[in-house]
Amino acid sequence: MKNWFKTVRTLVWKDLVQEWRSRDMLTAMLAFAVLALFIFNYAMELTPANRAEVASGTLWVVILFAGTLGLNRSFTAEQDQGCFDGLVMAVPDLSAIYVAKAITNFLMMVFLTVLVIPLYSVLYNQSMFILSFFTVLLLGSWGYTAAGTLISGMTVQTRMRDLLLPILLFPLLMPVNMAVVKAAGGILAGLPASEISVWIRLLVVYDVIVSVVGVMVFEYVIQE
Amino acid sequence: MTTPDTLVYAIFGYIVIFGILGGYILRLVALSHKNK
Amino acid sequence: MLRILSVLAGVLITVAFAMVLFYAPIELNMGLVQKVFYFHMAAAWVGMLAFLMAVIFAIQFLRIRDLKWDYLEASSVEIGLVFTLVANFSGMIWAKAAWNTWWTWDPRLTTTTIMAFTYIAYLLLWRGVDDPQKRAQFGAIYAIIGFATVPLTFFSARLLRTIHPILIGAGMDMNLTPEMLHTMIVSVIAFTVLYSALVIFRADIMTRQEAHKDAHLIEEDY
Repeated sequence: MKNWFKTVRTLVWKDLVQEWRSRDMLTAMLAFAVLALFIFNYAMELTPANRAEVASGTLWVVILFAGTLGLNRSFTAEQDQGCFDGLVMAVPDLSAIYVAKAITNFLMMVFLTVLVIPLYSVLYNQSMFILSFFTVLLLGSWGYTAAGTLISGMTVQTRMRDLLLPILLFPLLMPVNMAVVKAAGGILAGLPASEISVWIRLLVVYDVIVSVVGVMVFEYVIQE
Repeated sequence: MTTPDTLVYAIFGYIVIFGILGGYILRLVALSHKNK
Repeated sequence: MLRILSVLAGVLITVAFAMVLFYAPIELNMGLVQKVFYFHMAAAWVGMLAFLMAVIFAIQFLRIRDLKWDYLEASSVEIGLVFTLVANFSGMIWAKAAWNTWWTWDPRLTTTTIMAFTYIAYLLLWRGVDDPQKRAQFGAIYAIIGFATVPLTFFSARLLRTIHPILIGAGMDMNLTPEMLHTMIVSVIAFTVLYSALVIFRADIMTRQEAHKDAHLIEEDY
């Protein structure tokens, strides 16, 4: 058990160091997020009434799409030169690979969110520096990466690759989308806690279910 | 809702339902023959 | 087996149709278009049943590793998609007649549409993998995780409606007289039998297609 944690930690560290050395994925995600923000600005009318919900909605949509950039790359690093087989041979419990990849993707999304929130706050003239707001995004991001890591593990082995990931992933994420936008928007609009808590509970349930399924089922993604 | 109106919709609805189902079944039959 | 099921399906559907026309009364508010409801409901039910069966087949495949379970599973998904589309389109026609709108964000309609997207995604995944074993494994995984999220989608959609009640669509519930209930049950049973026959038929075709592929290395026709 202790070995499992050690394995996960090592794998996460390996991926993070690798990404930090090139930093191209993070840069791409950040650039995408900023560009999307500008595009959305021209696409939608902002009134003081709808600003809270629109702001959180567009923020989440941007995170959603930028996240796929990260997900697509999470397994391609080891595809060259059969590194993946080496990885599988080195790690006895395959679920560790899943958890490690999921954590890495999660951390990248968090990093992106942290960079983007100040920018969005300024451009939407809406303070998003609220802890509960950030927590909602965290919960949503975890559900996203738990499902996304599992799916991208599969799509990276198909003919269509990157194209297939959104098609497969987004239907599964509908509960997360609804919950995050409603909860985050509600927090910004100052809605009573009773209305928001139910969405947060939904997020937690989703995260637990998807994580459990992911851990149980991931070995079949890799098995020959 | 006047009766003639809803009748049209009802007929349309049935055409859609059994049209899609029938079309699919026909396609399966065609596939079956092709692969015999 | 297939013969029996097909004939039975044909008979039951005819009976259901007769019941719809002569046995069930005309609904007060909506008029004749309500008659679409019976088969619409049956199709929606089968759409969900097909998904459940696909997951059961998926688990069987992961346990036993016989490809026949994979063929049953993929067939169930394909047929489930057909029934779900039937349910969605008939639902939209009914909505147009009853409330003068093609679409409502009713939780059931929303969820079955998302379910249709999940089905389509499954079929794309299934056709995007060349190796039969891998294809079967991936299909099983996606079916299982898809099934896990669909109920959550339903709850979210329903929650969305209660917090933001939308003006259109007084809800798709109605008071059913006993005759209507009987007709509906017969329709549901009829379509379920039809589904069983179709799954067996489709899985059989698939088995033959795969055998041909091995023998001749021809591009499969889907």
